[in-house]
Amino acid sequence: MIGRLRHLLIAVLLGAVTVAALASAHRQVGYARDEGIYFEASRRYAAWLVLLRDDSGKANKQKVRDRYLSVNHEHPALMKMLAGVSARTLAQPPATGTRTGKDDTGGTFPTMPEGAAMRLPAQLLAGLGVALLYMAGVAMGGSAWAGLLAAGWFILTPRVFFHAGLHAFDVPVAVAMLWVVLAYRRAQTSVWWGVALGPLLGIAIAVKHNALFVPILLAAHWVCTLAWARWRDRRPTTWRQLIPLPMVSMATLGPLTAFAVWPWLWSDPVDRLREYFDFHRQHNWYNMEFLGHNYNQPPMPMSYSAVLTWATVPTVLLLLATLGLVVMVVRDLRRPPPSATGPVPQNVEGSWSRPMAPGWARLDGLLLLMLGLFPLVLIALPTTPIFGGTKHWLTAYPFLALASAVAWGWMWKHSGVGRLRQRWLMPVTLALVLGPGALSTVRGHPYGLSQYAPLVGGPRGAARLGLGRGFWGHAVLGLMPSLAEHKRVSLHDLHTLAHKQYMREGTWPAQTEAAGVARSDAGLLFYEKHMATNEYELWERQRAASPEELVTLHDVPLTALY
Amino acid sequence: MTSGRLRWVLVAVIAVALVEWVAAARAYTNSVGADDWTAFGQRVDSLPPDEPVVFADDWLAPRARMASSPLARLEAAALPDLREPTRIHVLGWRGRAWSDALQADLEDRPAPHPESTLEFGDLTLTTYAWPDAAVPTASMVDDLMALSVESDGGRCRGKRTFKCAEGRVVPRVVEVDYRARRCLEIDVSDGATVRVLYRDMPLGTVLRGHVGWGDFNHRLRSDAPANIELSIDGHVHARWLASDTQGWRPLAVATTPGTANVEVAITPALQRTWSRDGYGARAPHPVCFELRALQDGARGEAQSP
Repeated sequence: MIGRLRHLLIAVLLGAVTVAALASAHRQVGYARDEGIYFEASRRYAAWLVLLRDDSGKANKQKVRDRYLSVNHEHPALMKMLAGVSARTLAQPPATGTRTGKDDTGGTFPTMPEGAAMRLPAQLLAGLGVALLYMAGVAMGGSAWAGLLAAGWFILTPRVFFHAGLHAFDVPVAVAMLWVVLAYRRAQTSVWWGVALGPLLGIAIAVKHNALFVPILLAAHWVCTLAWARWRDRRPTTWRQLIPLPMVSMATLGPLTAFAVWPWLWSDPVDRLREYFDFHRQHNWYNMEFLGHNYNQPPMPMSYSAVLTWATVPTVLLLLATLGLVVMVVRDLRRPPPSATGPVPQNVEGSWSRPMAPGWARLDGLLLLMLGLFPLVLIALPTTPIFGGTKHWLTAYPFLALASAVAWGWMWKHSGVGRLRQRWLMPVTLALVLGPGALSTVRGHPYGLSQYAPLVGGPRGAARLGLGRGFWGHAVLGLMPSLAEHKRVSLHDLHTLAHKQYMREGTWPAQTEAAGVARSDAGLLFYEKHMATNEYELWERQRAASPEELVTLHDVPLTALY
Repeated sequence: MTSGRLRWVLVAVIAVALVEWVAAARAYTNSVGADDWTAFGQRVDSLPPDEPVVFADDWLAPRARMASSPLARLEAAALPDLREPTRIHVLGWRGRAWSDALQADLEDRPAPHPESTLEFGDLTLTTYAWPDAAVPTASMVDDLMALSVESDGGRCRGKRTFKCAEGRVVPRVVEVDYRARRCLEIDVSDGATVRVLYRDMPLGTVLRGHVGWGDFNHRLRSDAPANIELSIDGHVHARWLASDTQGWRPLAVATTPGTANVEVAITPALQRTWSRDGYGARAPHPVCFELRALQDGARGEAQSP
């Protein structure tokens, strides 16, 4: 009990440190394209929540609700509502001349810029994810070091750290999928967790659509578990276990919860759901540079997600994850059937509400294998739209991190290294293993989206290989002093709404207007292969091919000011 | 697995981690200092203007152009190919001295011989030379004042930018296959023919040019080809059908040294692009071309004893 409490305290501490680090470090991270839209949506969603509090009758008229919630309705509302509430609580007032209405006066306790306040809910979820990974890592890897490895594997990967601090959904949904899977494991033997699983899934779906795949994977895993128990282990099974409480909860309470926290669906739910699914099924094709080629239409090379994972996650972490998955699957396969160890207990059955009987194989190896590989395989399928970068399979990383924790426990348990030696060798090894990722994150900050793993050679190696340098127009904060020297600047890939956010926070020079290239006296250029045209337009405009200033990461240009 | 073998697994994990530490130490620092760029800039500033500096590592180009003003000239930043110089200087990072893109720019010209290498910190400037090279005698893109342009609707007005009844012809720097190219962009209505005439063009032994379509987004939304017809003194010497799948497509016609009226007639089949709103509603898909008269091997001959 004391050990568990100690681990809980460490988990809380790790979560708190993560949130503090993200909140402070991401003040230096410029606003990404998608964030601009989410900021705008969050302001409107929060305004609707205020109206709901003050005049629920009016707020619940479809016309009024739609007016507030239609912006960015292709993504669920939960994170944007949380961000809006956070801003209404903590945001400093907008800069002079940028107020959008009478009540646009900042939060109740104005302690931080609006963007930072809106990023806070996602950062809190990242902290929760780190804490959960620590606890689950301890449980699966058998020691605090294993827990630290799982937590560090995740948050010290530069792309994860970068995305974790943004007002976006990619790390939040990765954390949400983790809590659903952990709840599923508990739900196999607990009625309460069985009931809770549905709402937890609903919240995950309300974060981002990636979570829609989880119940399918968990159902497949459960069928495998049942089949394994019945045909391999000769355990008694019943029909009631086929669709047990956890599955029923996911199938009923899951959608209901998601629906409840997504007010946009409250009118015309069938049509709007269809629109939602169609949007993501027929997603716009993004441009991705991969090994020197610009890909805009499926199929991407099947190797894309695997190569990009290797190129952005330290190899030693991937090695441990692979080792852990192999160990777990082999362990499942080699687990002696009960008949080999004695008579099969016929009176120990699972039930509808506690579907897993004592002594059954959990097939955790299969579970982590499915959850850890599915997002990468999905992106690799030739028919999948080109969604974009590594953020689309970050949902795999918590499970790969847990697999690493298992590998860690297995290595030390069977390595024959004495306990005394382990005492100092374990922390040293942990530092060695987590170090490359941590260094990569720290040295890549605030441009973690452009950071690459050490064995690729970092940003320079990636540029030479022809891997993308970024895609969100965020690497611009360092150019603000120079922008102040110009009257009209073309924004290129800096989203208008991200620009608006800089204006609201007084970060953007007040005397500098946004303008088209033809009217501008300076222009931003975010380096992406398919946007080379935009650079040449700037060359023509200034009759020279030389930038005035560059934002670079380890010599590699990310953004130019012409 | 025995504990002895497992110990080796542990050692392997630690070894990979150590290798990554070393790699991280190399990868996550700035390797090119301001002094290196200054020294590089001084070297480039001292080079003859007809010896271009090109890049084996493209990502070095923006910073290099900041270091040396001759590199920032559009003519230097958007070369048509590597046919003309007798000597080129290739900037790479940590010893890289050539690239696939440079190889493509050679077209059918033989590979140059490496002559010397200079190091500026981690920057490597490799000089290559050819025994002979082509001397340009005229260029449609550079000699705009010598051009007259006509379309089906009659003579196009203007001296540097030509306005026609069906559109316009403009000198531009465009992106073709993700590379910068200087060319004459023809943006006219579907099926219209534009004729660009260079009277008394000083000819060498060959007319060389390229045709391509600018802007990745426009290429994505149309694949329409264009007919190109090259006449010398009123006689058609070559016809080509080109499309954007061919990238920066080379054109060549052998000529007799002297002067002649050279006309390029271009007929783009379709000039607009397709989008959700149908054909023509969005950006154009303008064809771009350049043509130079060259005296092949002239520099080599001039330098021969």
